[in-house]
Amino acid sequence: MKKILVIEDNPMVIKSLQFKLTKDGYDVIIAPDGREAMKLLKDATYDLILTDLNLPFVTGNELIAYVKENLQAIPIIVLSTSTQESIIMDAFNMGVEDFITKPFSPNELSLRVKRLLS
Amino acid sequence: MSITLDDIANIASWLFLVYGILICLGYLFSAIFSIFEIRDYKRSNNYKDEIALLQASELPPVSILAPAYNEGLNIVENVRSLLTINYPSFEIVIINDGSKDDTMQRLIEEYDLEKQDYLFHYFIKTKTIRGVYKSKNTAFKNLLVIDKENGGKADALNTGINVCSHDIICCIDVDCILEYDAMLKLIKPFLNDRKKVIASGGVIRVANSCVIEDGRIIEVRLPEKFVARVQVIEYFRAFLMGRMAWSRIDGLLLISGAFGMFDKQIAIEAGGYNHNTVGEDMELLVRMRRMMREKNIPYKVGFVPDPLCWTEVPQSWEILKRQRNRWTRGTAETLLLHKKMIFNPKYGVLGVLSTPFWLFFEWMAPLIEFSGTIFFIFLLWFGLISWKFFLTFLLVVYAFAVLFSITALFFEEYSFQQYKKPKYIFTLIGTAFLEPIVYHPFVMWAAVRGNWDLIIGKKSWGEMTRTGLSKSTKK
Amino acid sequence: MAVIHSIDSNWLLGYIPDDLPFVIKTNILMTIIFFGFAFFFVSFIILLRLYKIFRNRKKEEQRLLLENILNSYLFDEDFDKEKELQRFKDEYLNKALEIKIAIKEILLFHSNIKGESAIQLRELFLRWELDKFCKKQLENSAWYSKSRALFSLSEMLIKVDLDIIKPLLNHKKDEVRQQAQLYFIKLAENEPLAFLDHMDKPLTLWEEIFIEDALKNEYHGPMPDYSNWLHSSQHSVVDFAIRMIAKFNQFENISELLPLLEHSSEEVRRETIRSLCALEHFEIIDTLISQFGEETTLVKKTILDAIEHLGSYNDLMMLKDKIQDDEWDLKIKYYGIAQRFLPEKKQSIYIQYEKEKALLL
Repeated sequence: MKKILVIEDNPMVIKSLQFKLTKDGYDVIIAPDGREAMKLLKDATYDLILTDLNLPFVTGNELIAYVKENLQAIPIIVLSTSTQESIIMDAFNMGVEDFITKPFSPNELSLRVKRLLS
Repeated sequence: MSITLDDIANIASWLFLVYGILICLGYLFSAIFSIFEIRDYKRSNNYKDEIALLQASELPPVSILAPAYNEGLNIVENVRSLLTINYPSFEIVIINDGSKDDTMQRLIEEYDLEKQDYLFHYFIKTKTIRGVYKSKNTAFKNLLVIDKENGGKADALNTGINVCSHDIICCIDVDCILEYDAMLKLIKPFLNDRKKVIASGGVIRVANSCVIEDGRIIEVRLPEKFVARVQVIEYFRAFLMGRMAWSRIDGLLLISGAFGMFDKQIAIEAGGYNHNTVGEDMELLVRMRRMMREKNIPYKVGFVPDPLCWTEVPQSWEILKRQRNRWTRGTAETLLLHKKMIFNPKYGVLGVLSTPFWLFFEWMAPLIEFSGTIFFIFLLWFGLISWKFFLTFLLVVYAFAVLFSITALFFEEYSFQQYKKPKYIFTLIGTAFLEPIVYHPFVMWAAVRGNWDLIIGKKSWGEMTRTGLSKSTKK
Repeated sequence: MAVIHSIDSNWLLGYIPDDLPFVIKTNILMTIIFFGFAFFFVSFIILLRLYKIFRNRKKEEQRLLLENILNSYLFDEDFDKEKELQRFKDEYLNKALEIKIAIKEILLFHSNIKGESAIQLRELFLRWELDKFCKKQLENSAWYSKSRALFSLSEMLIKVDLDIIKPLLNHKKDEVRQQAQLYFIKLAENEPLAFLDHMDKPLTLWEEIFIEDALKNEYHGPMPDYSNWLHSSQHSVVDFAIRMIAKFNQFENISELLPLLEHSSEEVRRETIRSLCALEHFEIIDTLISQFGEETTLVKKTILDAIEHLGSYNDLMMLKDKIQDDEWDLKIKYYGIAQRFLPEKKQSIYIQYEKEKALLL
């Protein structure tokens, strides 16, 4: 079963993502902030990372930079409230595989996850 | 007709009675007005993610002014937490007021500062500016550091006003911890009123013993030391019952120097902070209000009934004494400077209610208390009153003091309830019972000394030894 | 606050001892009253704390139930919608508190999710008759319930009788007024700002921020022509219209803005200059330069900003002599803009400023 690491601090979004992605057949691990995420990434491997950018303690950008440098194989999908073009461009320039803006469509997200994990 | 001791005592007793009744009425009115203000504020709803909306919108840019004197120990951390303030557009202006320690060096090193040829003008007269510094690193592009000759807090703030770029200034104590959305809340009165708003302030909380991380309060804890704990109750009385009530009738005379926002233009027109008084924060607001009134321009002072800022309060009796001494001198100086306003209906609520209140109940109270106590001891000594009477009289006074504190605790419980653990509430209730016996005589004496020092001409601030905001780690 | 001295009026020195017990009695009476109230408040505090703990627990329980059922409803294909939703309604949506939490939770989901799932949430809102609850609140309750109900209905795009909403636009509580404004924008198919003509108080900047956000993100009809409000009797509406013309790039309205450069209110003139600047209307530079001398300080500053944005260093220089000797804030602005036009000459411009300062002071 594929493992997805979800890094998000909005409790409602966490629950929904967990529910939906588990239903879709994945193993979902949650990190509520960047610091926790870094710890988890050091201890285990994941097949996909789904992360917000606005995180406490360690920012989303720092996290993406770390993953792209040390764990290149893991695809990243960014899920963020930011619709600013510059932020989206920055994320893609850093190498993320996909960028979804909030509010998001769960069905669409599900398909994008499937695409990256197939 | 000669006046006997009888007559003196008679008159004195009537005066004390009237004073006592007025204080009771004051307590009642402040309780009633405050409860309405709190109730209204509590009822207002939080809708969608307002914070994200506001962060993305075009709020007026703000210059945050933070004077620093001998803050070397914590200055780097404090500035870092200021840089992460949640607000769309702002600059941080640190004014190094001729520190004798390594405050300036630490800033230069940590933030990669270099001296600039900065265009500015002395709109308000201040001590000489030695240099204006900006960072070479674009990550700190909204940081400005001013190095100047020592001149005191008022002078430092005026320097900041002279040099800063924006039209709204936010005067802050450099080691204050702000709530995440503090600035977004504090700007609201400026935008939401149909009259011109000249200043706004919020509720200040006691940070001692709280768990702080990355410049944010992670866990609210009750201060461990008794001295600090009593001040928690004092702050409740002052903010939840005092300022709420005053702001409801637009009679606010004081916006805390720890965190307040002002219209820069009005502040400059009023003459900036007065460096001849130690109560510069109160004095400026009174002067600004007076100026607007004398110019007949309709205006308002905003108050946000929300805890916005956490500050360190004195934990040692010695430093507390100096602080209260200074507050007393500041209050007296301000009232003296603006004595024309007292009981003057031309100044509306300020003249008829606010300034007389500050005169009789904030400033005079410790003096009346002190003289009353001496008077009664005198009478007791000469057998002119009985022990029983003296005791019952002390009891009434004590009971009222306790009632006032408990009411303030109730207001806190009703409104913000920031001390979550039940044991905190019980500790606070216990502290309320102890305060009139252990703490109050001390601050009363400090206030009396303050008046004495004012008469003999003492001018200094006294040093506030920074212990560094207690970085209690989570257990 | 001071500790009081409350002394009974009958106290007098040297009077017959009969009076003393009365004084003592009064003091004891007052003490009892004060302590009585103090203990009353202490018990009130404890009760309030207990009440809050209890209520919060109930709220959390309800919220968890809702979270589970909403996630199942949206994402579980095996979920028996008919049966489960009805069962939940019968069991858990009877008390007002329960219904309020349900509304809050659905709105929370709705704010984070879009697409088909969002439509399903709206269907659920109606199926559970939460709209009926909101409509009742709108008619009968206190202001804070009215505004919350209004918000809920507008988020779910549920239409309400106009006769009920219209008076709320001019309600005495700001919050209700704001939600009424946002209701009109969210539900309008066209003319979202028709309500501007029916307001009895000026529009505040705060309200404007939310109106703009709603127009950008929640209104999907054709953008109104903001020039319609340039001659409103309310200055705040005029200012608003000027700003929106720029925000929504209504270049066709530039010709409507130009006459406002001579409006009597300095705020209107300032906003006009700012908007024309944002619309990159270079042609106004010469007009602004010639107007500069007679303008107020506020507008002068705006003109300087406009020159920086649209003009050149030569344009800037034409204003040099029009700045008075004592207008130091304008001077600083002027020299700052000069430095940004000619960054290589930054140092010499600074020296120029210092020289001028030395001369005049």
